Amino acid sequence: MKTQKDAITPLQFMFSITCFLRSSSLLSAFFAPISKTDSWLVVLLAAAVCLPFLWVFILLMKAFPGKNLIEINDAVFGRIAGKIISAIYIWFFFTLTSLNLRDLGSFVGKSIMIKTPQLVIVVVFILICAWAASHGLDVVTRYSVVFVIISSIILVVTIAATTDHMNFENFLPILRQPPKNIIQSTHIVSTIPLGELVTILMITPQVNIKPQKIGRYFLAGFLLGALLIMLVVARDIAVLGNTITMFGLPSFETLRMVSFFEVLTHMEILFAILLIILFFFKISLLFYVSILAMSYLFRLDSYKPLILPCAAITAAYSFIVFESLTKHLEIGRDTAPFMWVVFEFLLPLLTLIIAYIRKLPKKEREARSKEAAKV
Amino acid sequence: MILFLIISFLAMLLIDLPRVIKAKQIRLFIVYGGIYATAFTICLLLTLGISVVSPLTLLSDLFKNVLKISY
Amino acid sequence: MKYSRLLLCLLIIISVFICTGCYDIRELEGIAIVTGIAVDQTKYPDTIQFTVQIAKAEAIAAKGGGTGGDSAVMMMDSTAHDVIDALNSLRHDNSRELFLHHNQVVIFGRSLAEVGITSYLDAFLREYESRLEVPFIVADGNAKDVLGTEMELEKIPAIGIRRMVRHKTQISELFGNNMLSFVSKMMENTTSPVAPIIKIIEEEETKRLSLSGLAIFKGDKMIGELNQTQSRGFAWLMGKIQDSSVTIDTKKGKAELEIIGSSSKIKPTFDGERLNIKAEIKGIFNVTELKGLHNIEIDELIDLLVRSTKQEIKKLILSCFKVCQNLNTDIFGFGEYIRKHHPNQWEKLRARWDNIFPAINLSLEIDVTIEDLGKISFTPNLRGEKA
Repeated sequence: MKTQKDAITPLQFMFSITCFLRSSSLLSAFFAPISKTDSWLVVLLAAAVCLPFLWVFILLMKAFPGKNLIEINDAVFGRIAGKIISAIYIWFFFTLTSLNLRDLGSFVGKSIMIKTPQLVIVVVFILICAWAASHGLDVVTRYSVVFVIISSIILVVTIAATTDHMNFENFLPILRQPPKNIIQSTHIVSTIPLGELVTILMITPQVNIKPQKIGRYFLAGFLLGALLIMLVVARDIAVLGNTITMFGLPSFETLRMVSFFEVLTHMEILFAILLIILFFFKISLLFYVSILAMSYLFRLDSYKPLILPCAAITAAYSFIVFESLTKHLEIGRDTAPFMWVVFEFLLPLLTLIIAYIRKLPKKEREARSKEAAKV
Repeated sequence: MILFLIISFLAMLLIDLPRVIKAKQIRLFIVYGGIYATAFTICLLLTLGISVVSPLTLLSDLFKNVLKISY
Repeated sequence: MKYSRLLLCLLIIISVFICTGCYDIRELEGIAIVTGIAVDQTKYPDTIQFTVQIAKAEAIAAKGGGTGGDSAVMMMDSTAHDVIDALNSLRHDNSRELFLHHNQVVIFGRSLAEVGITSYLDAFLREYESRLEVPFIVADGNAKDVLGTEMELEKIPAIGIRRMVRHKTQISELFGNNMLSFVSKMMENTTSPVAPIIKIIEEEETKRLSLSGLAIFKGDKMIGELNQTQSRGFAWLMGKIQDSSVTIDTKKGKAELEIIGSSSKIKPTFDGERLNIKAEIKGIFNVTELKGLHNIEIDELIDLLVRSTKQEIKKLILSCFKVCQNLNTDIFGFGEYIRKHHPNQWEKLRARWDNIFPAINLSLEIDVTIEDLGKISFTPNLRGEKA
């Protein structure tokens, strides 16, 4: 494709995935009220449940090396149906970007900058993310390593700082809840934070590595990210106990409890910094993916001209995407798991099945070996 | 507010139009125009206070009430 | 290229100026730092008197002011139907903005605590600026007076009160609390939360504050209290007491023993309709003072001390336990313990917990070790040889 390909190293790729997942650890309010003190176990279960999703993604990556999701759709479904399916994916990517942007706007707008209109916060932020995306994927993912290291250090420090508030009996009794809660919670975690990795399928062609090996970096990043989410949730349960069900942002309250020798207090500022850093990464990456997908859909030379209008759409969309917080929570809890499964699992699975029926992977391999033989 | 909207969209046009015209591709022009128009419409509707229906809510209602797949 | 570097430097310098934000600029002269909050009942039903203690930054910073100068704090109060209403009327009546992030204590008056506090706690949980690691204290009397009592050593009474609570927690962590643990215990179905009680003691011409006893809540109403000795019994049963002392009074003399460490293990056994709880308490002591125990051999002395200590601890624990059983309040968390460690049994018991708790059979197994006798082993009259 004519669109510029800037390559990223496999390490950047792996840490981008980890950073992507770590940003979602702030969304624990979605499932914590349901699975209460078993939420840490739910994260582990969800990681296990998500593995089939990953397997489909990796198979798609291996079957069509060098092609991103939009190109795969074109190849598998043909020109017209492929474009329709790609359009559906693009709507999904834009929705994700707007939802994350709205989350950021509401957090910063309600707890740090109360008088500032959320419009200002959202617009300034999306402009920065758009600016980052305009410089290419390398810039967007370059800092993922640093962000993961910073967030892990902060995680370790906060765990050490909250040990005197921790009560390990808060984890008991284990798995004594109605199975429906555990199942619902696992479903939520496997689709909302973990399943959104389908967006990574858009950037896989740009990773500087042999297609066979990409699977292990994907898996490593995923496992590391899932582990970090589990540690965050476990720390919150240990400190907050049964009150974790009350709070909209449990990690925020956990960090507020820290008071190291009366001197190091008010550590929730670390949480705010971390949230802004991680959301910056996630929104930049999602924005880049959305615009890249759009430019591939319309077969443009480069995605760069589209940046500003798409930023405007994303900002506007983030105010439309749900009417009120209660609706957002209701969607997140009840229907989003099922809706997201369509985009994250069913569509890629369908793509894979049709690809194999049409024997496309074999044709790809033959085409590539012919080209290699020519050279 | 509308003034702010119009100014920002004109600024956007000012920044982008030279590059789009220089590229001399009809497809790019059409796509850019389409996206610009969509963005402008949505922002205008929001500024005027007309509540725009969210596709996500529609889809969620579809799943919940029509297909009855929900928790 | 020099040009782009210059631009970069300029951008960085400008962004530092923008960092404060435009809408949310808060300067130190523009905020009123709230250090303590007190909530009291008024004579009108359903209204509360909400008092805040505001620290004056200039007065604290002024070192040359001397003791005769202005006090470093200012009290403001308002009457309203609920907490947020009261906060808002204080906000509007003030020349400065209220800054709640440095709040040190939340004190509720006793009469208000006896009526019910859930509706008032809700505001503290929802408000973004309020922090849940502040202690939650019940005042014996008017919370406003407690908050306003001047302390000699501390310029700001609220900070003094918080330090007092912190000191008390050195004896036992159960003697202090924070709002989060209080709310957490309230959320548990069977546990009754406790809060420290603070009193004003009038001594000659000065007033002083004293933390003594614990208030017992059932649901969200305060229904009873534990005095000092009963609170000690509470701490003993939970095995969380140290750094204070036990007084032994025997026929032969008195002794003071300092508690080095303690622990307790709860073992419930289910006996049909009744619940038997065996508590294994361990205490490690040092002898700090002996009065009148002359002419006794060391081994016999230690034996006597150990026996008397065991009796004393048992007395303390049982005095506390009786109060709780009479009030039917499970402050020890027995219900939660069974729910967590024996979930199968809990299924059978949970519906009848209100009937089971008053009928619990508590058996104590106390193990006392005396580690050290201090610098001297014999009191001067006692020479180890019969005179």
